[in-house]
Amino acid sequence: MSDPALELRAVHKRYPARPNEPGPGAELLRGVELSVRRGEFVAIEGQSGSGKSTLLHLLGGLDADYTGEVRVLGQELRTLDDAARSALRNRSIGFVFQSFNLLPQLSALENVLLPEAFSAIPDAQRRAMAALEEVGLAGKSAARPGELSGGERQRIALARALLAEPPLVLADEPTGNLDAGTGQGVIELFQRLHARGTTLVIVTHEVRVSRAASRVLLLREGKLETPSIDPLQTPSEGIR
Amino acid sequence: MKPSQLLRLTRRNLGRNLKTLLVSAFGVALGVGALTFFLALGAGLSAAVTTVFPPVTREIEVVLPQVAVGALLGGDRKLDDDAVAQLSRIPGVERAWPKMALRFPAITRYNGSFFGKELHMGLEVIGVGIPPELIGGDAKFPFADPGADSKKPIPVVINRRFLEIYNKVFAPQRGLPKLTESMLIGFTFPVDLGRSWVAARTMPNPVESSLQLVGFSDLATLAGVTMPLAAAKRLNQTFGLDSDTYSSVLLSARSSGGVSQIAEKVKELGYDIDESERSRALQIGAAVRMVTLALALLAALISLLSSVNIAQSFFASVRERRREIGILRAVGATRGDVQRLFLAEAAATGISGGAVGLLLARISAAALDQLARTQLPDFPFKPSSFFAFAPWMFAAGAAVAILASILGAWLPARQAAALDPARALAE
Repeated sequence: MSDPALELRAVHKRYPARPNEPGPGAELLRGVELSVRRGEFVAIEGQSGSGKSTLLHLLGGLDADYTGEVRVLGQELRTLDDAARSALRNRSIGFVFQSFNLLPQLSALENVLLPEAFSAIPDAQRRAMAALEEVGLAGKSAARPGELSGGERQRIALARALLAEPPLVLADEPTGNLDAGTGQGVIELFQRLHARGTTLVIVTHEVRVSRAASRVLLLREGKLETPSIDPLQTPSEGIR
Repeated sequence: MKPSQLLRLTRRNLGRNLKTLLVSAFGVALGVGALTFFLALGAGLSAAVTTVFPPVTREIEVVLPQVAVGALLGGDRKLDDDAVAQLSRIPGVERAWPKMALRFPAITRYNGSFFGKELHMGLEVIGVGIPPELIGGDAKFPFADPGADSKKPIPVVINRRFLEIYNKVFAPQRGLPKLTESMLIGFTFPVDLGRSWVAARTMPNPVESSLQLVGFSDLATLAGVTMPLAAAKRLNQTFGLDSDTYSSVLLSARSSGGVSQIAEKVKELGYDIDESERSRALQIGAAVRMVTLALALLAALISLLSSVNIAQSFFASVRERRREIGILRAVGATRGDVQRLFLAEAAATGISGGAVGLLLARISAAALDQLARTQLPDFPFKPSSFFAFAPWMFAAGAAVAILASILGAWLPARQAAALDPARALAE
């Protein structure tokens, strides 16, 4: 059996203490345990402020201020230096954010090619066009983000995440700013990725996203648990 | 991060933050423009001063001391042929050139047409004799004593600076024509040897003669005429005056490095050195250098302030672009990549500001030169340009622009690199 794609052991994370607040900051993650198989599609739900995004940042090596063990694609993040973590993010992890996070000064194609600025991705131009094709925006490669709709921007962000054909995609509320129809299109893209064997971890509020996932977890009081009400069985009410 | 990508991102980022770029580049342009302008002004003024007071690097003028210690002690120090021979034997001396002043008064009285203008004028004439070889090819006609029996005029050369002063001061005041060297070569004018406008100084039996201008030389005496040494000796002898000792001896050193040692030796031998010309050139040169240095320091201070300005702009830019930095980190930028990106933007700001500054310096210099040409009176040795731009000044200006910008952006770039990407993305 291969290594899990993601593995968290006894992960604790505190908010940094505020300047006028005595003592350490509030604890956000309290001994999180998680194991995600390669090719699995996991949705993580939880209340606002429960630490879902923080957890995603830990998984992506963007936040190094934690205790416990975080293994991503077989590598213990704490043992990696900044360059190695950056390389991991660049080549093996694709990020998708709720607010798209495109650079407004770059065209759609240039945004998709952004990871290539930091390492040599073979055949990047062709891959970028293929990724734009995949998300249905090949015809808008020259457009600036400001000229695109919310759904189109999110699809550009998804194309950027796919440029290096990473084995792991981490998405933070990817449909949060989209209308139902556009959001559905994005979910279908995730499903296609899952079908191709990409590991997906999506933090979401939305039941329809959770319904697309193969496993749903709930982050509550700093710990991950399997929800008592299966969202896959109750399409009209997502866990909030 | 690949340089081509760095360049592309830098270009796009600067295009987006054009206002920041303009504000930052303006400061750099001001500092670098001022620096280049002042350096060029200093070099231009130095060149102008050198024209008026050429630096004497290999020549030493030996004279008798004002109060000869030897004379007080009973010695008899003289600048005669033996002294010339002794001085020429000093190690490092290439040649000793004796000079003899006319020891009697002389005047010129000009009545007649002077290059198309009627001129009635009298002047005291000061004359010095030098070995003809000293002026080399500066004499266009033979520069030799015609002899006592000859009716030929005595050939003389004058200093080029004398002509400049005539053209810029004397001629305009008297309404006389401006003259060139070629116009004056061959010009002959009468001279009364032994006569003075001060009656008491007039010698018995003055002699009427004439002088012919045969050339211009920087080695000719500044105030007066320079004639062959043999002619000066002969004329002094005619009036029964000392024709055996010299007024001064010009020593040519083999190299400028040996001048101080020669000067030391000359003083050891009991002679003095006429340093009026040398010290004047040195003093004026030093004054110009001091002013240039002070202005360059002022410009450097402006550049430093532009560096502070860039630091402020870039700190603000880092604050505004926290999310962008988070995105770059998320897609694989290292801390070093982020730092390099900000420094590259700073360098580009410096290059833009520097280019504008250098252009401003050139334009300002040209405008000032034009103003000087049209508004300033035509004074002696007025240069055609007060500025001397050298390639190294542009290189230095560009380097200062880039360095000042990078220096200013250094701390903001480090701050950007140290930014926690998770927090930046969460904002």
